[in-house]
Amino acid sequence: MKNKQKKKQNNKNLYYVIIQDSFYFLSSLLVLGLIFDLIIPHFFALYFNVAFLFLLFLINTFLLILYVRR
Amino acid sequence: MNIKGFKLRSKIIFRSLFLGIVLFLSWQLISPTGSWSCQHQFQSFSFFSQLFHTGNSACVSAASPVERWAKNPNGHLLMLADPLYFSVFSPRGFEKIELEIIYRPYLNESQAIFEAGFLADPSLWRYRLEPVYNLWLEQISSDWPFIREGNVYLFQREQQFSNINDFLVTWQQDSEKICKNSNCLALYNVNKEELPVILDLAALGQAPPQLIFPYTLRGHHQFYSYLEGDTFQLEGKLLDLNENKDLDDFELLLFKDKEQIASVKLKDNRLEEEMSNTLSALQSFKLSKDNLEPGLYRFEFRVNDDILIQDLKINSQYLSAIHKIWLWQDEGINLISDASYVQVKSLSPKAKQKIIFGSEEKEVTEIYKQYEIISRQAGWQKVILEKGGLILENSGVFALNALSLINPEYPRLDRFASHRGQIDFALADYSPAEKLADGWYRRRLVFDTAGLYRENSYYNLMLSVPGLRLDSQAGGLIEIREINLKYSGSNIIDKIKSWF
Repeated sequence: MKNKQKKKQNNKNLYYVIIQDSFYFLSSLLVLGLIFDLIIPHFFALYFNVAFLFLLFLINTFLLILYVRR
Repeated sequence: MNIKGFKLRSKIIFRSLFLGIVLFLSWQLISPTGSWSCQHQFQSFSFFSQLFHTGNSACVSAASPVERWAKNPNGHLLMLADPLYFSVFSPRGFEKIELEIIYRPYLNESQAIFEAGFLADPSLWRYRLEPVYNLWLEQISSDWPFIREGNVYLFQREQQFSNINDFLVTWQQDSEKICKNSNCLALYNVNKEELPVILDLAALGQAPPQLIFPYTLRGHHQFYSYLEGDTFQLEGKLLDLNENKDLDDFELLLFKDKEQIASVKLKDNRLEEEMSNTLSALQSFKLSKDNLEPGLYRFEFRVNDDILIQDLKINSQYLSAIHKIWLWQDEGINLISDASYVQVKSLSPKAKQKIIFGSEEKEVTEIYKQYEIISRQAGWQKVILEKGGLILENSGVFALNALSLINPEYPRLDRFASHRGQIDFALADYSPAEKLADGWYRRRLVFDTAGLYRENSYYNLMLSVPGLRLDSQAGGLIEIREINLKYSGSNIIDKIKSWF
């Protein structure tokens, strides 16, 4: 029983690591997009759908807040 | 699972991914190999295509104006009216642009020519256009015998010549022998510098060497003139209407062949405010250049539509406005033109009037509508206007009378050529369109970027089908599936070397 709970807690920690790292990744990517857009407008948008990236970032932030509260 | 080990691996994966993206974007931005390409496929909306930009990159903007195009159920672009404009992205400056268009033409004889090109002169909206599809040439290439030398084709109604040079020499020396009329030859997209001079300049120069142009011109104009002596003298007066918001600088340029040899520039330091609709005081200008050889010269008034030019005086009897004339006065006007058609447009209700062109009469009743008048008589056409205000355009020249008419250009194969029905020879730098499956065609055009206008990393691309209009009864459209761009130029090592 204890082992099962420990495994569950371990999994939660792994999810937290992924969500935390993807949060840093997505925020960095959006900042990078902003910098490229300042250098050459619309260049970043040639390769990335900025709206979709931002949506991912919002979902990620929401999940991160949920995990932090728990 | 060891949480510390997982954390480390997760960090490494995300950071490598981010670094990879930074490197990829920097590579694309710098294009160190000297080439960069992008594809733009017009296709129906799908979630994944929008998500990952597959075949729908933003390197080609949406077409404008929106009323001139539509999309079919497959998402292909339907060009319904002429012209269409796009902004095309390039991450940096390159030397060459290869433009590839995959399209299906649904054209008829009144809109037979499909061309594409980039903006070269933003102040006068001049585009450098190249042929994409020419219905007339596609048709005669299967019906008429032709000679091919490189990319230049000579189409002959009846086989008479076996090489292009023989034809040109005969046409220049004794055109009446092979032609029943002066319009029997039509040129399309041929580099005229490689052709013999069409005009017999030795036969000119007999007329009194002074001409006063009695009408007032509005806006940009170009003229041909023939100089007998060694001094070119042109003078006149200009007025500023102050209707638009831009400053109205005046520039007069004199050319011998393609080389600019003299110029006069007058900055807009006039007291009247722009957009005040206040007529400025008369301002004189004069261009004088000595030590010139007798011959053909071209001069250009590089001005916007606010500038009126009057009292034009030149020391030559030969003076012909090239392709366009816009006169501005209340009295009647008499001109002649050597083309068999004219396109007429009025920008003001005051300019509505009846126009006589050759054998035809037409009432101009609507503003901003382009009227086309095709004369049935041969030779030069008289142009009679009740007053000024109409913009007249064609592929020939406009002059005061037959004595002052001079046109060194070969007749062009334009969309009105088929109306003439007199063409026996066509000389064209044109390769037949490459046919793909299902009726699609592909055309690859290569442009030298020197002289092309690039602003904020974008070039301005134009697709043009003269005569394709929403209000015409002729129908016709172009279906476009793809526009692909490939830029090429010096690589990063050559670029760095060029800086030192």
